Amino acid sequence: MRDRPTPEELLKGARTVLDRDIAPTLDGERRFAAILISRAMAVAARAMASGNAPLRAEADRLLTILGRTNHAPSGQALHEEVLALNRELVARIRGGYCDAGAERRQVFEHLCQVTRDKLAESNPRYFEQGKSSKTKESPT
Amino acid sequence: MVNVLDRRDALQRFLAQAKGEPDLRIVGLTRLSGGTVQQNWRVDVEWRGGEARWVLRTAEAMGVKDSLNAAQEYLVIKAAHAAGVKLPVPLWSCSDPAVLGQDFFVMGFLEGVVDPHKLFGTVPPGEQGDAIIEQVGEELGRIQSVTPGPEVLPFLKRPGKDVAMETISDLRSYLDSHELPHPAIEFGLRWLEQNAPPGGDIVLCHGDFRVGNYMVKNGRLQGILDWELGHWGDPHEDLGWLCQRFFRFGRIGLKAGGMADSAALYRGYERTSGKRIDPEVMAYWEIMASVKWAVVSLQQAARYTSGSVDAFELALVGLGTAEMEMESLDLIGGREGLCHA
Repeated sequence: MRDRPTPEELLKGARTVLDRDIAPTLDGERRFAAILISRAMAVAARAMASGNAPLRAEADRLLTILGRTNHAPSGQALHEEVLALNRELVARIRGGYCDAGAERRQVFEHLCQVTRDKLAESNPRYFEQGKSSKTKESPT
Repeated sequence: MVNVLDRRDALQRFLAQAKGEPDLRIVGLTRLSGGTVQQNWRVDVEWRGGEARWVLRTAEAMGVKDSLNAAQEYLVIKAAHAAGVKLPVPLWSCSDPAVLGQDFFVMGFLEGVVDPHKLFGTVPPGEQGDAIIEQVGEELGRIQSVTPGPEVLPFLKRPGKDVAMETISDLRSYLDSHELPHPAIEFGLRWLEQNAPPGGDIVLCHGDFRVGNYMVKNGRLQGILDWELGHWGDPHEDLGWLCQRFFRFGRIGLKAGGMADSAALYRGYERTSGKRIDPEVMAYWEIMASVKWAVVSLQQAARYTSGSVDAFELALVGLGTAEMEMESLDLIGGREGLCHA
């Protein structure tokens, strides 16, 4: 078992020092770089916190949309499975499978959810910026 | 990367000859900020009885796909300049490798604010923001007076009648070459394929027409910059690009570049182009802009993750893909009543 600080605590602590002690002493391109680094660390920390949960939920929805009866595997196989399922979904979208009807709504809602999950890690403030409020309230 | 400072003497000889002033001397040479691929250098020169400030622009050999080389960009700027577009006056272009080791061109120096956030600080929304955006629209109308012809910018690829369908096809080919599938972008592309308006006129497009690529001073538009993505395309392309959510830089409610409502943009554009904006066609090209930017941000991220360009900011640009996916889904869902109440 690893000792503390955990990887999450290390990342959080490093980012605090960067934001509080280092970034304010810089200017110009170096300050810009410090802000980029801080943002990258925050995104990575949120991704570590959510772990495989969004990928697993994506897999489950893809299996339903594509009419599969099997369950999603775990570990590295989950990643491979979602890749393959998404490739199949792409082929179906291009082929017109979700041009209309219930299939369209189902695929649309799935894609919105995948995108919201990515944004929750990459830019949670996106939803505060107004425009997307009409979709953010749906159950997750 | 060429070091312009090492080529100062050769550059001075070139400029002296181009200007026709044998005693012309470079008295200042500094790199201007911005641009990972393009380099802009401010060049201060003096000669007997005169002085000038110019900008030297040169692109690294490995440019972004679809971007023009310096000699071509110079010719696009010249064509736009001849059409009366406000921009840095094109002076000379040079393809002799003995001077810098790569193509470059020289243009007039413009003073003013370019950075979007600084611009927002100096131009408040309302009357002033509207006035700038109206001028931007007027310039776009002038740019579009440049149209394909036998002698006009022959190196630019001539699209067929259907620019939208060609763009969709290009974006799909890129997605096919990408290591990961992108169903949200594909959903947008399918919508674009099924809802494409009939192809219209073919005009000169700037290709990256947005806040950050035009300069403002004292509430007046000084010029349109950065023409390396110039191409023949649809008249709505640049309008839609400027109105794309990402280029509002946080001022989401102000559709035209975070500066004004799109009405101000259309007003200026309609005045100089003589065309009327069809809101339905415009809505289509706004979705096109979102989907296209989603793909461009994938491409930018791939330049970093493949190891070909060591510029960490490109990794962060890649994180913007999800934002453009969300925006295009919202726009399509909003039209079709697919979004949750």
